[in-house]
Amino acid sequence: MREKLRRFDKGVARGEAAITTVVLLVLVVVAAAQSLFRNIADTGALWANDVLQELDWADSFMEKATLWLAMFGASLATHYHKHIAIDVLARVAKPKVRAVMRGIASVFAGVTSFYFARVVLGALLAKSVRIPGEYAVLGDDFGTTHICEGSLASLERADMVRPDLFCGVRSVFDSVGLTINTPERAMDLLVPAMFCIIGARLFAIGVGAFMTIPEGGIRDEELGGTEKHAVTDEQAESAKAAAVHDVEDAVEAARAEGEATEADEEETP
Amino acid sequence: MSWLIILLIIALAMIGAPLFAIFAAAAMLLFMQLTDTSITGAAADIFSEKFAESPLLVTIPLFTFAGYLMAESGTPQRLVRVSRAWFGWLPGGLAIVCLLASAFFTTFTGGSGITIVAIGGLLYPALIAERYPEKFSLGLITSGGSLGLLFPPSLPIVLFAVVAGIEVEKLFAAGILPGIVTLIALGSYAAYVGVKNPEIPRQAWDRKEAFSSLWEVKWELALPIILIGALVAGVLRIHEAAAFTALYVLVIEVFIYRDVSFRKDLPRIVEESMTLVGAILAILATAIGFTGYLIQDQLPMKILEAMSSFISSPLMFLLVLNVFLLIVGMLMDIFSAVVVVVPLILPIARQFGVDDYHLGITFLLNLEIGYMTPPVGLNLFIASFRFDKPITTLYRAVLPFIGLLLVALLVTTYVPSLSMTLVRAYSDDEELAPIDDTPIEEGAPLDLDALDEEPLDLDAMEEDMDEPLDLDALEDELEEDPDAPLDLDALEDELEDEEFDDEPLED
Repeated sequence: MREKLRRFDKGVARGEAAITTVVLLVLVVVAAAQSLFRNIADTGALWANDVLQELDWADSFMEKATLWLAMFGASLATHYHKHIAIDVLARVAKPKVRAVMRGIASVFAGVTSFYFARVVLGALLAKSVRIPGEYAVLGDDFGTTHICEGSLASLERADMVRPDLFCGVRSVFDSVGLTINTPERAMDLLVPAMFCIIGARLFAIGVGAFMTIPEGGIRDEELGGTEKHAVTDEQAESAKAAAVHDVEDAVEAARAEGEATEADEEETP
Repeated sequence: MSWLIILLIIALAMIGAPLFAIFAAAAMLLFMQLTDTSITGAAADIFSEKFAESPLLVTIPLFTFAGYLMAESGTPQRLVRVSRAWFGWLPGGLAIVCLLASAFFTTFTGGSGITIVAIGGLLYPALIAERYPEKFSLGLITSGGSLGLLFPPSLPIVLFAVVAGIEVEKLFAAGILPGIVTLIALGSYAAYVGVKNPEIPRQAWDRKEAFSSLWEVKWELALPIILIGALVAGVLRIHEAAAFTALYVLVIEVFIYRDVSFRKDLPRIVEESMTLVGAILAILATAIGFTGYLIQDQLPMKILEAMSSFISSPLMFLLVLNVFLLIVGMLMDIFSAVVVVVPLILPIARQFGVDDYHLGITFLLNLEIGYMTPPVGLNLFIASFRFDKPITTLYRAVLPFIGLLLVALLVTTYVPSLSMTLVRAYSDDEELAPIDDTPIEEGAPLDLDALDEEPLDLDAMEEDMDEPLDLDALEDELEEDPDAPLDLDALEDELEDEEFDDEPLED
C-alpha cells in the first residue's frame, strides 16, 4: 500500500515536471518573441505591429504561465521536501524526536493547505461573480447574460461568436457548482486545486513520518528536504560535474542525490 | 486567545513546518477573530497586482531558470579561468578571482547557496594548494556565497521590488555602487592576506591565456553588458530583459557551448529551478494575507509609535533597522524575510523620510550578511556540509568577513547618495526629488495620523506641483500599449475590485 502510494506520487510528480517544462519553455519563447516584435514595431515597421496585434494574448498568457509555474513548482517542492522551513531543531534532534516533529509539522501543514485551498476558491468565485463586458450579451429578456448562455439571436445582435472551447470547459465547471466567467478565471482555478494536492502530499508525508517511529525514526541521511538540503542536492550534482575525478565528491554526490540518482539511472543505465 | 495562537504557530514553525503553511495558518486564524472583515478579501489579493497580476512576477521564474542553467553548465569553470588569467597576478590573486567569480555567479543565481557549491567547490582546493590559510579560504568562499546579491539581475532585488511595489530598474541601479563597495572591501582584505603570506605564489601575467580565456567566455560576459545596456537605454523592459536572459542562456549553453543536453539535462534543470520558484512564490502568496492582517491591525503604526519616543532621525531608524534585520537574516532565508518584513517596514521608513530605494539596498545588504552570521546563517551550513568542516570552524572563519561587510553596510546606510546617485541618473534627474540627507529635526513631532490613510505626502505633492507634467512618463505609458488606446481590462478589474469590497462576503 505504502509502496503503491509512493509510486503514484512519483508518477504525479513526473507529470507535473513535464507540464512545468513545457510551460516554461513556451513562456521563454513567447516572452522573447513579444519583446522582439515590440522593439521592431517601435522602429516603425508596420508588419511587426501586425504580428504584435496577433500576440495580444501574450500578456495574459505570461501572467497565467507564471502562476502555473509557481503552483506546480510548489507542489514539486513538497514532493522533494524542498519547501523553505526553519529546520535548525530538526537538524539537531534525535531520529525519533525528529520523526514526531516532522509528523506534527507536516500534518498541520497539510490540513492548513486544504483550508487555504478552500479560502482561495471562495475568493476566486467571489471575484468571478460579475460578467465582464467582452463575455456579456444582451439576453432575449433584455438582461445581461453570459456569452455561453445567450441565445443565437442575442449573439447575432451583439455581433459576437461563441468561444466553443471555453464554453465547454465552463459547462463542466458549472456542473460541479463553480461559475467561472472568463478563461482567465478558469486558469486561476489551478491555485486551489494545487493547494489540495500539496495538502494531500504533506498529509501523507506527516503520516509517513509517524510510521517510521517503530523503525527508529528519521535518520540523519534521510533528513532530506528544506532549504539546506535543497541546496545540498544541487551541491552534490555540481560537485560531480566540477570534479569528476574526485572520488570523495562522487561518493558524496551519490549519497546526497538519493532519489534523484534512482530516477536518472532508470533513464540512463 | 491571539497570544495562544501566535505561540502555537511559532512552535510549529520551529519544529520545521513549511513557512508557507505557517503564514497561511496565521492569516486564516487571525482573520477568523475579526468580525468586520473576512479572509476572503485578503485571499482575493492573490489574484491582484500584489501577486498574480504583478508584471514583475514573471521575471522570477525566468531569471531563476537562467541561473540554474548556468550553474549546470561549464560557466563556473570558464569564469574562474578568465578571472584567473586577468587578476591572478595581483597579490591575493586567486582570492580576488574567487570574489569576482562568486559575485558574477550570485548575480544570476540569487544567492541561494549554489555559488558556494559551484564556485567554492572549484576554488577551495586551488586556494589550499596555493597555500592560502585554511580559515581564510573557508571564510572567503562562504562570504562569496551571498556576494553579488546587490548587482542586477539578482532575484532578491526583483522580489523586493515586487513586494514593495517599486520600480525594479531603479532598484537595480541603486545596488550597483554599494555592491562595488562590498567587493572592494573584501578584495582589499584578500590582497592584504596575499601580501602578508609571502609563500603564496604569484601568477605571471600571460597575455595569450588572458585573451584566449576571455574569448572562451565571451558569450557569458556579454550577457550582463547587453542586459544593463538595454535596460539603461530603455530598449528592454524588465520582463523582456528576463525573457531575453533566459532565451540567451538557453541558446548559448545548449547550442553554442553544448554543455547542457536539451533532452537529458534540461528537464531536470527546469524541475529544480521551478522547485525553488514554487517554494518562494508559495510563501509570497500565503504571506499576502498574513501581512495584510498585520497592516490592517496597524502594526506598522504601533511600531512607529513605540519607536518615535527614542528614534528621531532617519539615520537612527536605519541603524536600529540594521540590528533588527541582521537578526532576521540569521533566522530566516532572504526570500521569506523580504516577503514578510518589507510590507511592515516600508510605511515606517517612508514616515522617517528614508527613500524606498535606499531602504531596499540597506535591507538586502543586511540580509546578505545575515546569510553568513552565526549561529544559524544558511551559508555556514552549506559550506560546512560541502567542505566537511565543523560548523564552529566556519563561525571563526567568517568573522573578519562579517566585520568588513558590516563596515560596508554602515557606509551604505550612512551615505544615501551611494545608493541614490545612479537611481537619479537613471530617472533623468526629473522624477525624483533631490536627495535629502538632512535628518529630521530633533523633537519634530512625527505625523502618526498620516500613516492611517496611506502616505498623503504633502511635500511630495508640492514638489509635484512645482514640476511640469512629466511628459516622458506619459509617453512611456502610451508606448507601452500602442494598439490599445484604453486599457479596458484594467478598468474593469478596478470596477470588479471596488464592487467586491463593498459587499460583505460570506465564507
